[in-house]
Amino acid sequence: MGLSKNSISTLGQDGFSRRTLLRGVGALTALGALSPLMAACGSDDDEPGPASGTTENTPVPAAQATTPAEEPTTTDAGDEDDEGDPVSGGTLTFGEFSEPPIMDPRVSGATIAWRLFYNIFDPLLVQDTETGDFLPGLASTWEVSEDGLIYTLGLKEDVTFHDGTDFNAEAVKFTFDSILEPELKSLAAIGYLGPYDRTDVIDDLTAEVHFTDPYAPFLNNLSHSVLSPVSPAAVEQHGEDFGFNPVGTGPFMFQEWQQQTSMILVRNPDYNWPIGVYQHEGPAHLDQITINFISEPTTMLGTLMNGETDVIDAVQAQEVERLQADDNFQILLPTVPGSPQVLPLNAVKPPTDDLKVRQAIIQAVDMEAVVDTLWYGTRKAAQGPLSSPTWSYNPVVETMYPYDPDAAGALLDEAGWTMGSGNVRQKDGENLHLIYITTGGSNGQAGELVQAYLLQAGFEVDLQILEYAATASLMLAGEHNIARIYFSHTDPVVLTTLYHSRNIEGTNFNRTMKPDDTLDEMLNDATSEMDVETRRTIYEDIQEYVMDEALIIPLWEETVLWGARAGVKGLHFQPLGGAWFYDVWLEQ
Amino acid sequence: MLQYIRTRVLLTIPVLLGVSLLTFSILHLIPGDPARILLGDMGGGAAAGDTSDEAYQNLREELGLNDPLPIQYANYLGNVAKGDFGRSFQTNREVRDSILEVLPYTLQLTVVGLGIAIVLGGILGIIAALNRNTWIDSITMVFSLFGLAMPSFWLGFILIQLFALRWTIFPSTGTEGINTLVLPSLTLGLVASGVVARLVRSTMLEVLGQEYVTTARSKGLSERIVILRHALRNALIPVVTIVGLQFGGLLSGAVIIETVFARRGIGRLAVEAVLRRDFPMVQGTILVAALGYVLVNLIVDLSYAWLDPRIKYR
Amino acid sequence: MARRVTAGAPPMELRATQARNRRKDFFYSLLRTKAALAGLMILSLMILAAILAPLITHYDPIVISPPDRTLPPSRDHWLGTDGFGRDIYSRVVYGARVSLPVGLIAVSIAASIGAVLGLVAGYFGRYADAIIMRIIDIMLAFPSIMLALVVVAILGPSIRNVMIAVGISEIPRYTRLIRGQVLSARELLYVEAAKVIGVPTSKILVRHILPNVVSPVVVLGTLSVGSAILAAAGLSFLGLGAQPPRPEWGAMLADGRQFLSSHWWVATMPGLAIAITVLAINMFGDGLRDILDPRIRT
Repeated sequence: MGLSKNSISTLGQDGFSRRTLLRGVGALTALGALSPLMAACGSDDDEPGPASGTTENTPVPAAQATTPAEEPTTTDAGDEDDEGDPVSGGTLTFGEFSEPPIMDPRVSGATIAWRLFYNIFDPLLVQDTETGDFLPGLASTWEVSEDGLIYTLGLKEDVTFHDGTDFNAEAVKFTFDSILEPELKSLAAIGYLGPYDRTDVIDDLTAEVHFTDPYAPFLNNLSHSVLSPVSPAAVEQHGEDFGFNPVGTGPFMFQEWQQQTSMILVRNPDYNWPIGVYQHEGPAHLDQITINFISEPTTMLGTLMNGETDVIDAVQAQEVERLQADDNFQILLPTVPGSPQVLPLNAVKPPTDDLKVRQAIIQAVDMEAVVDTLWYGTRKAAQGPLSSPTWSYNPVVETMYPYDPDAAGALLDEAGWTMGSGNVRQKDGENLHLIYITTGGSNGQAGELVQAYLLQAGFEVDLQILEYAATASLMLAGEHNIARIYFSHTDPVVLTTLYHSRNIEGTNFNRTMKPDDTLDEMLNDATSEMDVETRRTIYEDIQEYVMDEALIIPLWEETVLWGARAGVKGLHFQPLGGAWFYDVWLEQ
Repeated sequence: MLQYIRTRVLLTIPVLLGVSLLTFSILHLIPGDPARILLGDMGGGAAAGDTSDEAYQNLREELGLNDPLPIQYANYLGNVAKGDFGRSFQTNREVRDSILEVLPYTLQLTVVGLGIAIVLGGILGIIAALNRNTWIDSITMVFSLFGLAMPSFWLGFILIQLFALRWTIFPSTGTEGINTLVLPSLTLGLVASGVVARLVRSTMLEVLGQEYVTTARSKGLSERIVILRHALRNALIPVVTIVGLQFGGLLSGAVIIETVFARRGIGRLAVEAVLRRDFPMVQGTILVAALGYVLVNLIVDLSYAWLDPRIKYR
Repeated sequence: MARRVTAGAPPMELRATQARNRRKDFFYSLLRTKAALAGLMILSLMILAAILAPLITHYDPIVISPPDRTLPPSRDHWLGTDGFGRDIYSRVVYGARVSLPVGLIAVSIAASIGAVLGLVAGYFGRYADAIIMRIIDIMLAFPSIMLALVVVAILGPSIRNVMIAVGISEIPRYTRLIRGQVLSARELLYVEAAKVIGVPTSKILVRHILPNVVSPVVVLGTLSVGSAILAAAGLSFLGLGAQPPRPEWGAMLADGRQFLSSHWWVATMPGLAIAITVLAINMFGDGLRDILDPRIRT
């Protein structure tokens, strides 16, 4: 990318203009709630969180001081002020940003698929986003052995799959066992089974799930759609094509899927086993849901405005305020728990192998301003490795690295990087050079903003905005100083995915690149700790440790930017931001 | 003639083989491991709760990525010969089914778009040629050039703004029904009409300057007959050329328009497959596009013979 | 492929002998063609603006200033500001330094490689011809946007690689054109004569064949500078173009599209810059074609 650097200088930029930036920053903070409309959005990366199970996730009504939104960003922004009684009938047209590759919960790794699964498949458990309690899904009772090795599930009676076959303990066993088959190529579910050993069918309605090691996150995992039971008969019948003929027990039945265009779900008329979060009995209100896949964000909003869609899940941030002011529309912004968007710092590659440099990087960037610029108050700056609605979130991280360019400068001075000519810091004749690898869309734009602050602090930043596939190889090779990752999850076990040394190679979700025994040990303990409060404490410590080590620059907490026609009632949201369409009805 | 056709058909085989080899080589040069990309969900919220390296290795094995390259290629060729294009890494769907499902929509878009281009471009071209070097010529040419000069995605967005948002006459997205075809095909047609207009104009001028036309004129034939009988038939040649080019570039031309209008089609299928390193899908779409190109060009070359008796084949 | 005897373009007889005369009335004809002149003037202005960019703008095209974002056109910001508060006028002017070379360099790559391949294939025929034309057939059959896409994917997205990608995908057009011209030139009497009296091949190629090839290549080249700029813009739209914060017109347009319904100027200004440039190039190219093509000279 040397060329791009050259060009910047040929363009007459004599270093980063301090005045412009400071002016910008001052005004931004002053503005607080930003009114005008602007950039961001677009690209798969904005694809917000999926639906998944939950832990005792308390949906902290995310402190949204800067949100112009009238409705606070909560995980359950449901229309409490529904006027009138629900009406049955009608087709809801849903504009969705990305298309699920495959509709087999056991296989799919795509967040959009996870969200849609909940409509076709019922999870075994479900979590109340208000209280954090687990509620019955297809399992009405559950019990965990003291050693954390056996989970016993008591199943609901008289539940049938869409193909008419019975749901029972055999189906649970079949689902779990089949996930482990290598030919299935499970992407997500296999990870949610943890150290799974086997399932014993005790009787028709009782299943015992055995693990080889104590596995604390499993209740949470059971509430994730990827572990929802599938119809064994249908799997038998469709074989490899089950993913295009999904059969579950959910309130909607899969009817048709036109690749690249739409998917049609129709009401399951026999449905009378609503899971714990549902707000009524019997079949769903809607006759049909038509999901239109609209991958171009500019086009997407237009479809809501002109009535082509009733509800969309990727409103452009700069348009949110306009829609909120319009009585014909409603805006709902559930925040997604798990890891926020973060920029992992490579802790083995110079100069970010130096703790002081990493700390300076975090303090040099006014993330509040960056996030406001990008998201117009619809998303808030992240503070640590977990986003605030995640269970065990530790607010201590919020005060660890306030924006302080002077402190950042002092840290760099201490580390031996002194200001050289052209506003670039140097040590032993070498420039303070960072390679920042990220993807396009809002992440690329965030890159431009973060780069601006880092240049200001005396870094030389080679920002490389690449397609995802290309970033993946570079990050695996550890070419980066600054990378990016985002991982939604309702359980803090997501920290294992992002910071355990075993995920440096292979999946490369740990992009800090540095094996850390202390961290590994804490993460292992937390995974097998069955006492809820002890487990919470360990995760709080882990969050603090990650920030002590300055392993990431937290960016923003993901929210799903839902927009709907005013006549769409009863929208409420899955823990990871998808909609429960079961309770949705259309005002006549 | 038959001999010629047979040779041409036989010649497509090395071309298609070459295309498949080129595709295969390129795919293995591009950085990006399909297995890791599957696990990573394109940088959005990601897949595995806690995926082990084991799961990743299993994925590579199951996708056949651990086999030596020549074996992978040989396997692929063998399967293609049997009509099996493999299953998509991303969707696990038969690549053949996916392509066959969306291909008709790209064809629709192309045919209607080309129709618009030919009619509009043809009229503009003829008007310009008949009024050569007058202001009418300049205006028509500048107009047709403007369509040619606009990035197609910009034109698409402008049409959406006007016809789908300001006046909700046509839908901005979708694939079902004739309504959804209007804006995308208009975008394609406006862009391509510039090319057609220019070609028609220059061919007309060329023909009008030819001896036989001059002869025809000097024989006292009316201008109308001269134009219809002699000039127009020749003006068809560039039209055929452009049809060939556009159809040949079927996939290329459709990619951006399909993306803008969220329309299903093989162009989007191909681009998304490249971005997701979905090897079987990339190979399948490129092979189909190449096959289309080769066939259309064969037809185009043959139609030259019909249109222009001076052209002979041996 | 077809041995398309005398297909399409009849041999351009008299070309070489008339060369000197033509040069004389070249400029006269050019001036006569008003559209071409207008195109040339617009292009000259663009090039001038690109050269003088620092003198005729007073904002840095790269430095962001969020509080000034999406300001409408005004006396301060003639074309408004973009989503990061950058002055669009400055970015469009500096963008000419990026986008104009993209077109020129991509075409130079395509034309020079295409010329070599076409000359060799056309003049030597036989195996060289067969091999080269099969390769060209393969390249043609390979969808051009996919070719550009994978080249960028392999080399990484940058403006340089966009030039290479677009350039490579245009090679076949030039090879075919030049081969065709060479084939017809080879049959010319004086070339035959030169061969008979033992003039070295290289000399024949340079002296006698090349001049016949130059003008159609110039015409095609001029016209395809425009299409190369558009192709680069298309790659930017697909997210594989120039790296931000470079003010490349296609990338500016693609980034600006999110504001289409609320702040029209953000996308419209770079869009117009592209359209006007390509229009000017095409007007100029059309004029060139009229002049350089003796068949339609009156």
